Amino acid sequence: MMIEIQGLTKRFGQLVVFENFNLSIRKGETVALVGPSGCGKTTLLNCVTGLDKNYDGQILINGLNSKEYLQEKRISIVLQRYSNFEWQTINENIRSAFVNRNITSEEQEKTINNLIERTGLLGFENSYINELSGGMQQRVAVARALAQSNEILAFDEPFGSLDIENRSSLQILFREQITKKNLTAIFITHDIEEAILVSERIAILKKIPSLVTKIIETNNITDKYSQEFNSLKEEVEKTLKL
Amino acid sequence: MKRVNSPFLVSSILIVFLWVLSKNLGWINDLFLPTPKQLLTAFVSLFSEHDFLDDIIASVLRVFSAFFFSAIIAIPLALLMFNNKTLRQILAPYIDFIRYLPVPALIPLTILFFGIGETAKIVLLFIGTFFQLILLIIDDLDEIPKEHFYLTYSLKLNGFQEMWYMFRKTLPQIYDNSRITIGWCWTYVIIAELVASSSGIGHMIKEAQRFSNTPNMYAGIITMGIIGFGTDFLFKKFYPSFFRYKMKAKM
Repeated sequence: MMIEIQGLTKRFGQLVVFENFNLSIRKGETVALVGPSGCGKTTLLNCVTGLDKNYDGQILINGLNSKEYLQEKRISIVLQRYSNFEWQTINENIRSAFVNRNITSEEQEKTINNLIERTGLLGFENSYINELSGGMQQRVAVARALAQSNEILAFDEPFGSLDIENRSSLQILFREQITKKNLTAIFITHDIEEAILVSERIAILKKIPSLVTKIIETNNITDKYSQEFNSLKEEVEKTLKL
Repeated sequence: MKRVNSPFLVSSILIVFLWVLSKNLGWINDLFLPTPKQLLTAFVSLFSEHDFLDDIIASVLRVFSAFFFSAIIAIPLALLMFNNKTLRQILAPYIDFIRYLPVPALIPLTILFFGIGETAKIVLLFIGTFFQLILLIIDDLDEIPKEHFYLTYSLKLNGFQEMWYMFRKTLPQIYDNSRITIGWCWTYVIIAELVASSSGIGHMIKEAQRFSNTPNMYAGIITMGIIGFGTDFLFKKFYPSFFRYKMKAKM
């Protein structure tokens, strides 16, 4: 297992968000987390990524205690509210993924150029963040996260504010890169279709104290109009309503 | 073509008109307000006979050296305080305490410690600006959205790099705050020069007051205003060059 969440308990004062929560994620797998608002999806992500260290229970990453793992490595994070370095150009923003990494400048250049092309940012390499639309800014954040080449990615509704076209192209890019580099990812989304398209498994969470009520295998369906896709969508919707 | 600030132009013409009118009709005594001609003569005489340029240079140097020292200490210290809770807990109450002390109240102490030379004046201006500036910078750092920290965390930056990114993030606000604090510095330099100085614009005003030389007093005040206005203008003028990324229009 790449990520093992064992007996996680998280409280905010009197509010119990998780009590004895368990979830395992295999290496090279993307697990989509879906559930009602306020069920603790982002809190879970914060605990896994180390942004929140104040919890009980254990999170193992690649066999190591998460705190130990995070002393050496990082998990790439992309949030719905994108954050980029506004004083840097698009090229520099993506290049920031290589800070403190032993990667040759040729290799950096190759990765940056490839990601700029794949994220549809060609021609905007020397533009500043403020010159781009919200969708393009989010593409920069995704490109940087992918350039980091961390073995785990944590995406918290990263495409939530994008239009259908942008959303779709980034979903495809995400799947492609994850598969190609055999990365592990946690992907929070409210969009059931997106959850099916980007993940191998969908973990459905219920309201707090949160538990995984069901895990559904997606079988890597990519055809949104297939019968299998629709039945899967219905199953997720039905579980969410329970 | 650059747009002219017409309301300002009209109002300044109106002020000069009222000034000339009031003097011609004898509404205000020369002791309180000189005529435009008297003021002009005062300017000519100050520059040609009384080394007024040296006074201006002395005041400007005091302001900018004090501001320079304030900024180079306040910026890194604010970053350190922001990153170290204990350091902030120790220093913040002292900063708040000194910040509320009126600068003129510290003049006797600065004279006692540093005499009446340049050091005393620069120290006084430093006290007047440093404690304000550091607080403003910490406020700016407090305003950085949490997403920025999530991002720098995920990049696994070291402590120095993280502080550098915070500095870059808040640099436009620091620049704006510098513009404000430099204005306060001008207030304090005149106070310092009025009390204990043998040079500077404040000193010239004090000397003019001793001899009831109203035109010279007005000339000194107007000069200060022009320098302050000019400093502000330059700060604003260079903002787009320093922060090009802020000026670009969204697609």
